[in-house]
Formats: sequence, C-alpha cells, structure tokens
Amino acid sequence: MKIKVKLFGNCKDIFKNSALHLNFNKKIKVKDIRNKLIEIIEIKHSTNKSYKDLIKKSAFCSEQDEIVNDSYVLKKDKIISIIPPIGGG
Amino acid sequence: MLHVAIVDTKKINIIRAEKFVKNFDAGASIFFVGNIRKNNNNKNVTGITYDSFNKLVIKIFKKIYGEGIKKFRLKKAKVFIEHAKGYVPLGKPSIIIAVSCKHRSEAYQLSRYLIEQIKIRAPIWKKEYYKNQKSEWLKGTSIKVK
Repeated sequence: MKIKVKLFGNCKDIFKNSALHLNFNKKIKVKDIRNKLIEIIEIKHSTNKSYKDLIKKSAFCSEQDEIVNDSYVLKKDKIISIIPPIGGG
Repeated sequence: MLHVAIVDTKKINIIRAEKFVKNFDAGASIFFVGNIRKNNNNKNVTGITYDSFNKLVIKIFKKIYGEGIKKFRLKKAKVFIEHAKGYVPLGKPSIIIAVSCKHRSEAYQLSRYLIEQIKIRAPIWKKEYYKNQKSEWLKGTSIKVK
C-alpha cells in the first residue's frame, strides 16, 4: 500500500521535500507512519534528537481533513498529513 | 457573515477588512492586526516565513467563527479573517481579524476569542529570520488529538 505523507513547517526542512511516498505491505495505522518517519530520521539525522521529538509531538490529519490519533487505520486514505506543533498569528 | 482566506503576504491589508465589516447594524468594529516584531527570545528578528495547511486552516477558521457566534449569542456580527502565507518582513502584518457587532463588549470578546483559538488550533507554522543571518522554526504548540 502506497501512502503519500504531506509535510508542513519544519518537517519540510527535515525531509527536504513537501511530501514523502512510503510503501507498506499491510493495512496500517497512523502509529506505523509515525514510526516510519522516526526510522528515517534515525538513519538520516541520527545525532539530532529534536527532530525525533518533533515527530513524536506531531498530530496527523486524514484525507477527510480530520485530526486522527495513532490508532486510526488508513483504509481508503492514500494521503495523510503530518501536523507538527503549530504557531500562527 | 464571514470572510476567511490565506493570502499572499503582499495582499494582506486592512482596507478590504474595513469594507467587509462595514455594517449599519453594528455600533462597534474591532480591528486586530498581528505584526512582525523586532525581538523574540532576545533575538533580532528581520522577518518570518509562514507555512500553512490552507484547506484545514480555512475549515478551522470557519469552525472557530461558528463557536464564537454561538458562545457570545451574536446575530448580526461580521467577521473578516486573513492570514499571510510566505515571507513577511519586520513591521508588516501577518494576520488581520476584523469584527463588527452591535455592541463593543461583544466585539472585543469575539475578536479576542478568534485570535486566541487561531493560535492554538490553526495549522500554521513560523520560521523566524534573524539579523545574524540565522533562521529557525518556532517550537509551537501540539494540536490536541481526541
């Protein structure tokens, strides 16, 4: 199953892109995406603890524009967005 | 009546806000303008780049407006909210919230409610640029997940 993860804010700089394309062998939950992003950071930025913390503190948003928790199962979703801590205004 | 938008940093201005909230039923208009200030955490700020998840921001602006209207029991309020996306230099506006209501107390209340909720719920991010040529994304607040 192919999932596009849309990136915002600091995540764009960390992954040097506005989206990531991830492959999974099974149906997945948000928790699996979070863990996959942490894995990528451990490989590419092994010394930077703050990047991992940022992913841990981030929320996720479904294709239906709803904030979803770690147990949310991606059934029809092909796209999910990661929402790092916010600070507009 | 509501107007919400994410706009290019050069297009954000208060004139359109004034026109939108003009209302003969309203005795009070409040204009909140958020500007880029010179100092943050003892660093000399030269500007801020804003990133936003536009579709979700618009949805949340509308939701917050609905909550505010209900909370303060308003019937003829007009609200204009625009937030900049992209680079905003020092002293320039990043957000304009204009509110017109029948009475001043409710206009103040609604305006305050909108900005405080936007701060903690709208998916918008800031990257600050400093006089020493460095830059950083601000830490921000985690969105609450049910």
